[in-house]
Amino acid sequence: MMHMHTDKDFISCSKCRSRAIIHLPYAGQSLCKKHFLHYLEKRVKRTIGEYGMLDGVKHLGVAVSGGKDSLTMLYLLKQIAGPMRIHLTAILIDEGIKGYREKTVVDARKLCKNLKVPLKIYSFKKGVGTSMDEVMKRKNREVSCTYCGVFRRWLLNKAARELKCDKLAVGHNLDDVVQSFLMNLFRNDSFTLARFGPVGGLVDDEDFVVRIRPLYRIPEREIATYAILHGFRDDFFPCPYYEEAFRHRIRDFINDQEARYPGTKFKLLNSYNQVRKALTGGFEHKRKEKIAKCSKCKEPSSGAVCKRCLLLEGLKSL
Amino acid sequence: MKCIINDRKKIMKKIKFSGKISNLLSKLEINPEVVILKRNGALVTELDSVKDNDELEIVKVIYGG
Repeated sequence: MMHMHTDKDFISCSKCRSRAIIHLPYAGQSLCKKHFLHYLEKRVKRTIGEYGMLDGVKHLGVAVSGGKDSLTMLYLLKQIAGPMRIHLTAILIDEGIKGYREKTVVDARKLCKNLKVPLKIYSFKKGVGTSMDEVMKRKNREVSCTYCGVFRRWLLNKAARELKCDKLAVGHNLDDVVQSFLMNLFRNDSFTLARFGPVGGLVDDEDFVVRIRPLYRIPEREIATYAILHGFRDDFFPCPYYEEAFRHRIRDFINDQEARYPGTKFKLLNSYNQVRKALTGGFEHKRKEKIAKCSKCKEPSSGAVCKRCLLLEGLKSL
Repeated sequence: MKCIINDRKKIMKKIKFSGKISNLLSKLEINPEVVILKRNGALVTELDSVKDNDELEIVKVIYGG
């Protein structure tokens, strides 16, 4: 029989006397369910307001995978954008990974139905021309995340534009942002570094749907807690093809630092915001440049042929 | 106590331990930053304690990808 804990056995919420469900070392506080939900929701609202993420938006595309981040984002956006009479459409990209995406599609469908948000599903196979299962069969290919990332960005932008979305919300959280910050620093990739901000990229083009990142300031562990509390997810599993070893090492390094020196992730985010501001000035000329269109697919591209088409070509020759 | 480590699949271990969960995590070399904790099915913090007849589930939530 399991032991029943008495009142004295639990850590109390720093705001009230209820039982705490999460400890936030960086804030020096523990929070109960009610105060934690409020704390997270307040931070997301503040981020959206501070960066004017929903300014002028009538139709918002929400990139949804069915994982903890995107389901939490969809739920929060419905609460925030709904009263503003902003129409939401959830866009799900099915990469074609047997036994993986099917599970999260079920959860995405369920939440969309509950929230009365239409869900549009686009597959790599139909939209891009190949599935990740097919990519993985190729020998001497690049790492899986290269294909998946490029194909997903390409298809999400195309889908959001075709659906006439004014902006597209993506579920990158604080951990994703600071990992990308360090990775691009190590790679000396200042252009990519500068464009991972809370709103949009560096180039304005009518064929690019502006991206917003409402979870920019929320640590991944807190999103998982929020998802559990709302019953969006109670199991967490990685993509079976995940093989981005560099990100893996950076992520472990940052989490080790966070455990030793609480607040590291927020300090990194603040550093990133300062660096980004300085860098964006250096790339200001890019904003006015007319962006090229890929000679093959006609989608916006920084070169004569876009990365999606180059990767597809490369796969054919393997 | 019964300890379930939920990392891709669930692994159940019987561990002789009672005390603060953060001490158990460091003994198991698990970073509290990447997990969520359930004591007898309810969410708890790493500052909470477990007794020998408790069930503790350590759910890994940070994978990336």
